[in-house]
Amino acid sequence: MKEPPELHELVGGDVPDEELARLREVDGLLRRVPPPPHEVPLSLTHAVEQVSAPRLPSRRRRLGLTLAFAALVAALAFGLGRWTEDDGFEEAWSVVLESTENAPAASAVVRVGEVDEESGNMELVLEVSGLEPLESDEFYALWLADEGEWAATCGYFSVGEGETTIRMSVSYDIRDFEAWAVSTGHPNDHPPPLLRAEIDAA
Amino acid sequence: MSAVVATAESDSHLIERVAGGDRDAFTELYRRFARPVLAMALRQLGDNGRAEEAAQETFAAVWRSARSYKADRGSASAWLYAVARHAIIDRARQRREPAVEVPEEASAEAGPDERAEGAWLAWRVHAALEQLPERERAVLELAYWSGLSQTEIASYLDVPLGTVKTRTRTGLARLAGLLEEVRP
Repeated sequence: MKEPPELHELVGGDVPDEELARLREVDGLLRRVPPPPHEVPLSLTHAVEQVSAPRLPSRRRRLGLTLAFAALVAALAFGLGRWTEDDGFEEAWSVVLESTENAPAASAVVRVGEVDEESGNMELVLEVSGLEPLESDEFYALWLADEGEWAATCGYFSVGEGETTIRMSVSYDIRDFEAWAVSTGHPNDHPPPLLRAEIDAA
Repeated sequence: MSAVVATAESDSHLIERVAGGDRDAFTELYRRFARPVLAMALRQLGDNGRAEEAAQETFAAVWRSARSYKADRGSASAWLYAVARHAIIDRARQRREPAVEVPEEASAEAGPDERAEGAWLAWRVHAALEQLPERERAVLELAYWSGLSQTEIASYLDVPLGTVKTRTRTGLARLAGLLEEVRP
């Protein structure tokens, strides 16, 4: 890339010496630093919006055997060895998302971490494969459904070839919702789920 | 021409409002610092996905930890820089790669002190740019980082060449005020 023009070319020739000296110092700083990103990805903005989203009111609190059973099945399916990872993520339970007719080749598992007692946040690790890479301005989302509708966003992500692993952090009580879902786009678009799993009485 | 001092709400006050759970303040803080955070993360982590994750974690940490900010201990910008830096370091540590061997011969590349100084300088400049009016910021970014000439910028923005020069001048003057303490 070409060097920027000299300062006197940038600001014109009628700038008093004192002001020019002041501008030259800033000109020097701008020449020293790398450019900022052209724009902030929409996916990041959406994800950060969720950070401060208010907690939804608890609708269902059916704790019990179903959760324990689901967690046990998930653990057996993916190996007990993964319950504690060496990357600092401690898995409490996991759930397999099933592909829908909209993405029959896709598969995914959500590994759910323990709730951080201090912050109330909970880490999620989504491992997904078989989804088509999207254009740069498009993205997938992992979200929580309630009454069949997109109720809360866990995070937005892109995928590459093969398996993609995404870490997210949410403050929701998962038990307030009825299903996990992965789709493209934004809740306003009412996108059809590509992957889905019931949160049965969790 | 005198420097124009921004009259927008201070970053410190925004953080204090965030500490009280004010989502509007959080949104404004994100608007001001998203690009500086992302820029630093991209430089340190080198890939878009992980940089976005680090940026997301930075703002999650801001939302969680705003109450820990004490205005009398340092500037808001420095506090945000530290939060971002920690998030980026955490993300970097998650990369499972073999340790890089320490070279036996001295390198011509910048050392840790120089890199830290460079990162802080870039942070300040990028954060200050976010405080400029859009028309001035756009002209400065095109002038310094696009490789376009002033004439090409005028054509690209569909404004007279004189307007490009005026916006460059006022933008630089405004930046001079915002960057008072980091200029040499």
